[in-house]
Order: sequence, then structure tokens, then C-alpha cells
Amino acid sequence: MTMTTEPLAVTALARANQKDWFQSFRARVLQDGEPYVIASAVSPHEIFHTMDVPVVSIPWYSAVISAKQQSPYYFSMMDDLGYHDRLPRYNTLPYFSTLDGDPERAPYGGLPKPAMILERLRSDYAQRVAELWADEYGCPTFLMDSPALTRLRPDWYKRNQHDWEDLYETHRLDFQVEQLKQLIRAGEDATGKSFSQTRFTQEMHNVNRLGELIAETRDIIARSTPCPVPLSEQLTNVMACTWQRGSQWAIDHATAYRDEVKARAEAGIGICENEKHRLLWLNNGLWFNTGFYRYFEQSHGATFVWSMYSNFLSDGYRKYFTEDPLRALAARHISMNEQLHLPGWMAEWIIQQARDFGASGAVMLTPDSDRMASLGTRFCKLALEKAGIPVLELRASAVDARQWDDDAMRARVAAFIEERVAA
Amino acid sequence: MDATARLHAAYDARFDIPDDTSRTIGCISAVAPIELILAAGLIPFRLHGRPSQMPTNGDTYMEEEVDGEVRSVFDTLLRGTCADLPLVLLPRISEQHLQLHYYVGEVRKWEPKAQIPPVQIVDVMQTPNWSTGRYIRERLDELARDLGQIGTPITEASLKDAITKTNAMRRALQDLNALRRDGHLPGSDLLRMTNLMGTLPPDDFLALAADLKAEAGPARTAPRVMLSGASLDDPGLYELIESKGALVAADDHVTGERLYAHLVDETADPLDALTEHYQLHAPGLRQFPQSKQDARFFATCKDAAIDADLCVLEDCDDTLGWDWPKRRDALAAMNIHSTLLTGQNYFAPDRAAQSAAIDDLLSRIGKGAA
Repeated sequence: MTMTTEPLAVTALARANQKDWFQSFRARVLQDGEPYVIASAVSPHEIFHTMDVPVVSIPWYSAVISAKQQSPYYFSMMDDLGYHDRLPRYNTLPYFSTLDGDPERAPYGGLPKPAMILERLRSDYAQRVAELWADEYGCPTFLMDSPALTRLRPDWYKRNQHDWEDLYETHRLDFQVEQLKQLIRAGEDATGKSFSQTRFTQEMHNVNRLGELIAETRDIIARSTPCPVPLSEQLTNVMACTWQRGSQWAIDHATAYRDEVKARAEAGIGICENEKHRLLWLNNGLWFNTGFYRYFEQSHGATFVWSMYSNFLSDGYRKYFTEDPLRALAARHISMNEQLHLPGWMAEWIIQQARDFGASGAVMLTPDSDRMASLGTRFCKLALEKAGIPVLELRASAVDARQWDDDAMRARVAAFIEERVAA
Repeated sequence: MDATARLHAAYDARFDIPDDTSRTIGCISAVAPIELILAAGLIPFRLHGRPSQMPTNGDTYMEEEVDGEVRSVFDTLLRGTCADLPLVLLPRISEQHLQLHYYVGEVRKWEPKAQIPPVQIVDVMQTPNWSTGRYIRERLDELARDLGQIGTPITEASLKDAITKTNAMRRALQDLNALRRDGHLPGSDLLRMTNLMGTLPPDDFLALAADLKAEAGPARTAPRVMLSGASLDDPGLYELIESKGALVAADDHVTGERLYAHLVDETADPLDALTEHYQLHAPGLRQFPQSKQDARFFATCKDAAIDADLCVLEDCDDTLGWDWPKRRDALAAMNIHSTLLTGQNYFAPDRAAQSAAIDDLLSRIGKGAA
């Protein structure tokens, strides 16, 4: 076994692509006057990818703000304006960067006026923030509603790629397709671009192919001991592909990512010299301190090998179809949040991941000020513990560095490994 | 016993399940379509939240970040006290209520011996769009069929009759609200009465409302407070404001006057009329655009000649706080004082903090611009 401290070559390419993409996007929007869309993570970006309209994902920009240590400034601004301190912060940082209006402070110069803000309602606040934000820009919003599941069928992660009509329920998919048709028309009106059915069909096939590549990489990481790639790099590569899903760049990058991980695994190269324990990271990522994932490799031989975003692109996005790609797109997003946070669905998937990756413990970050991300955590903890997987819950903000006590959190995870994982 | 005493007695008895449980349909929240229950010859029974009872069983599974009323109802369902009800309706008036639907489904796996009645989501999404309305109409059609199988099949005539009865209760509350505006009736008692809609049989409700109206006291002149924010299952905060000599002349929350401000159209197709009512006019956190909700709020403040707004939010609020800065600034422009009180626990409200906030707010009235 050989240990490496070097990052994957593709990780630097992913980071460079993200920066280049944003600079190119700003040039298209600011210099060439092209339209773009701000959209929530769980909304159908594919509609706008098809029309060659850039999409800025809200949590992606939020994570960038956080990673660049700008969140304390915007949260102080939030306090000063009178927004109380329990309001959700993860998805609202970009709104405050717009309110601030300082391109020198905002990452990559900030977000110019979009053609539209697209939200999928999975809370009761998203529409409020979208409306405030759109008022600030003077742009329209498009809000997609989320019909309720009448029943939860087990093993969503086994059924959702082919058996999605039954899993997600026909009456819900009918409604979602109607909303997508309305979005296409509204998007065409707002951007002046036309939606191409042939390009869309190809886009949908591309996303499925992308998911297959991520799944192959998932399987390599899961079966390779020691773990060949740190969690932070998994996230960088997978999320870059997620935001650009459907593009040839994403397929090419995912191919290169798979090949490099495979080469490492076949050569016995790992990131932790004496890997003894493999851990899962549950819930939100710790975007302002991704180095935290690696604190315990030297001291405890403990490696974080998986998070909920490592392979949701493969497990949750793929929707195979023979007839109607629009209905497949409806299926992709209609229960995305439920799969990550719904009691039952969340736990059954994570337990399967723990088994696949040989994980012997999990650390769960429960955000203090984002209760949508806290829902389902008690059921999930109970289910994992029942399955023999000890869980440590850390309560903190995923994006507000002001509230993070690094020493205390480090000590808690160390104690958890020593007392529960290694025991 | 005078009407007020009868009101208090009925309110205190609101948790008592009717004797005829086989014909009783539970309703979670004040926004259930009770017209359909009445039209099927069944008895609506509101499952009220219990602020005085900390959840025990429910908190094993449900996070403390969930709204207090939802936590409380979840706990009630797990305790088995509603086990004999043939059905409980769960209108989707907030994300928290939707989550309750999922939690109830999951907890059955963990507590197979728990006596939990069937709970059915009523998916009244409130996006103000035609396609949403058609979706809701289909859901109400299904619900009407389900209720007809438990009770008697719903006909157009029976549904129109139920709408008329329910509208009569709304009109009675509107009359009482007009009395409340001028201090003839305490806001705390109007809140009690409002929460009895869907609990008392319609005829009993209307008789009590008529007696309350007849017994209303003289008008009172006092500082006029708007109480806004989180929904309230307990009149304690109203009584605290009233104990300081002020009137709760208006309110803006899910269990306040918005509940009866709109009447169901009695001339239209009854199911279409119900669809439009519960989609577009029933109070709920999902109603938007917020600018329209704010405009209604400001109009109420103006019509009720409000002096001050007290906005009280639960400790887990992630929603209503987004409305506050804009409302605060607009109220100031209307020369209406305002205070935001956050962090209030549903089960253990901080009465000292509430008292201090009210004192501060009342002290500012009449002392210059807001």
C-alpha cells in the first residue's frame, strides 16, 4: 500500500472549471447581454441547459461564499437588517450578497441580474426569499410546487431509476409535467431562447450516462481499502459534474475522475496510511472547513469515505426512459428532497451506503439554523444505530464559520471514534 | 351560565372526543375542509395542539425544530387517544404539516403496537395557479368519495348545505370580530370561539355565537394591538396583553381572523368553490405572493386603527421572520409601533419576555412617531 498526500489531477481541473465557468458566465451575461437563471439545487436546471442558458445553483454559490470566508460578513448584514438569527442561512447567503451589491466582496464579482429566479417549494420560506430577491433585481420568479407522496415505498434507491412511475405516483408526475411545460414557456419568454426537444432528449441521456460514471467511481471507492480519494475531493468532482450535468464536459470529467480513482485503487494508493475505520458524513457538508474531514486520518486511522453528496448524482438523478424525457425529468426532481431528508427513505439509503463502503460509524451535521436539513435526523439516527452503525450528531451551522468551535468539534469526533467506533 | 362561561367551558372541553367515534373525523389544524365531513353526515373533530403538555412519545422521533402544534399533535396520535376515529384529515397548510404526514407513516414501522388512526393528507397546495387548482380539485374529489364511504355518499345538495352551514359560522365570527374591534369582546374570547369552529356542532356554535353577540359589553377605548406571527393554540398571550389594559383589536396568524375572512362561494359548483377557497383564501404559511399577504395585513391594521403590532415567533421559526423587516418598516411609515419577539417555545412561552415586550410596546404609543 502506498500513501499519497497529493490531490487528484482532476480535482484541480474541476476547481479551474468552476472558476472558468463563472468568469465565462459573467462575460456572457455582462458583456454580451445574455440571459441566465438563478435556481435552487432541487429544480430542473436541465430546461435551461437545453436552451443554452447558464444556471447558477443557489447552494453552489452559497458554498463558494462560505469557502471564501465571506459568510460572517453577510450574516452580520442579515442581523443588522433585522432578520432573526434562527432563519435559514445555507441557501440565503447569495441573496445577501445581492443586497450588499459589492462586486469586490462577492466571489467572482457577484451575481448580475438574472432573467428569472427558479425555486422548488420544499419549505415555507423559499418563496419568501425568492420574492425578496426578485424584487431586489426586478426579475420574475418561477415557483414549482411539490405534491405530497401518499405512500412511501421501500428501497427508493433500487426502484427510482426504472420503476419511477410507480414509485413517485402517476398523479404527482402528471402535475409535475404540467409545471415543467409552464416553466419551458416562461423560460422561453424570459430568455428569448427556444427549447429544443432533440437537444433535451440528448441532455437527459447524458445525465444518465454521467450517473453511470459516478456509480462506477462510487463502487471503486467503496471496495478499495485504503480509501483512494478524500471526501473533500469526491465532493469537488461530483458537485462540479452535478451543476453541469447534461454537458459533454461533465461526462468527460467524470470519465477522467473515474479513471484516476481506478488507477489509484489498482495501484493500492490510499490517502490514509493506516486506515482502520471508515466513516460516513451525513447531512450538509462543512463547506467552510472541508479540511475537517481529514483531521482523524493520522491520529485515529479514520477516514471519511462518503457523504450524501458523494453519489446522489448516480443514485438519485438517473431516470431511464423510452418515451417521454419530460416525464423522466419530472421524476428526477419530484422527490429529490424527500430522498435526502425524509424519514425512512433517508435512513434506508444511508444504511446501504454504510454496508457498501464498509463504514463503521457516521458523523451527522445537523444545522442549527436550517431546520429543513434537521428533519428526519432522529429517525435516521435510530435506524443507523439499530443497524449497528454508531452515530455522532454535531449541531452547528454548515455555512456560518462564526458558530464553529473547531477544537471542541475535533475533540468530540475523536472521542466518538475512540469510544464507539473503535470499541 | 352566561355565554362567556359557556364559551370557556366549551373551549376547555375541546380535547374531548365526541361519543360517536365511528362517525367522527379528526382534523389536524383549523384549515381542514369540514364542509366535506358535514356533507357526508359525519362529525368534524379538531385535534388541537396541547401547549400545556410536553410531548413524550413523539419527541423520540420528531425533532424539536418542528412547529410546536405539529409536535403536539404527533404526540397525541402516538398516545392512542384518537385510535377509534375512522379517519384523521391532515391538510397541508405548511411544510411542517406535510412532514407530519411522513412521520406518521414512518412511526407505524417503529411503533407497531401504537393505536394510531388512519391519517390522510389533504394535499391543498396553495400556489396560486390554475394547474394547482385542478390538482387540488382531484384530491378533493377523492376525499369526497372516501368520506362518502365512511358516512353517506356526498351529493351536490348535501355539500351545498354544508357550505351554507360553515359559511354561517364564518359570518358569525365576522360579526364577533366587528365587536372585538371596538372592545365589546375580548380578543382572547374571540380566539377561543374561532378555535371552536370545527369542534362544536354547527348549530351549537351558532347559538353560542349569537349569545356572545347579545351579551357583548360596552365599547372600550384603549391602546389597540395587532397580534401577528405564529399561530396560537392558547389564549394566554391575548390575556396577557388584555391584562395590561390594551385591546387585541386584530390578529394575523393562521388561527386568527384570516380563518373566517373569506366565504366559500355558495352559487358556484360546490367542489370548485371549495377548491378555490382552500387553495387561494384559507390561511397558511404557503400562501403567496407575500406582497399580497402584506397588503392584506396593512389594510387590516388601517381598518382596525391599530396603534402597535406585536409579532411573536416560535423558537424554531424559519419562515415568518423573512416577512418582518419589510413589515416593520412599512408599519413605521404608517406610524404604527412594532416589536418582534422571537424564540417563544410553544410549550413553555417566556411570559416574562412577552410581558416586557408588551410593556415596551405600549409605553411607546402616544410618544411620537413610530
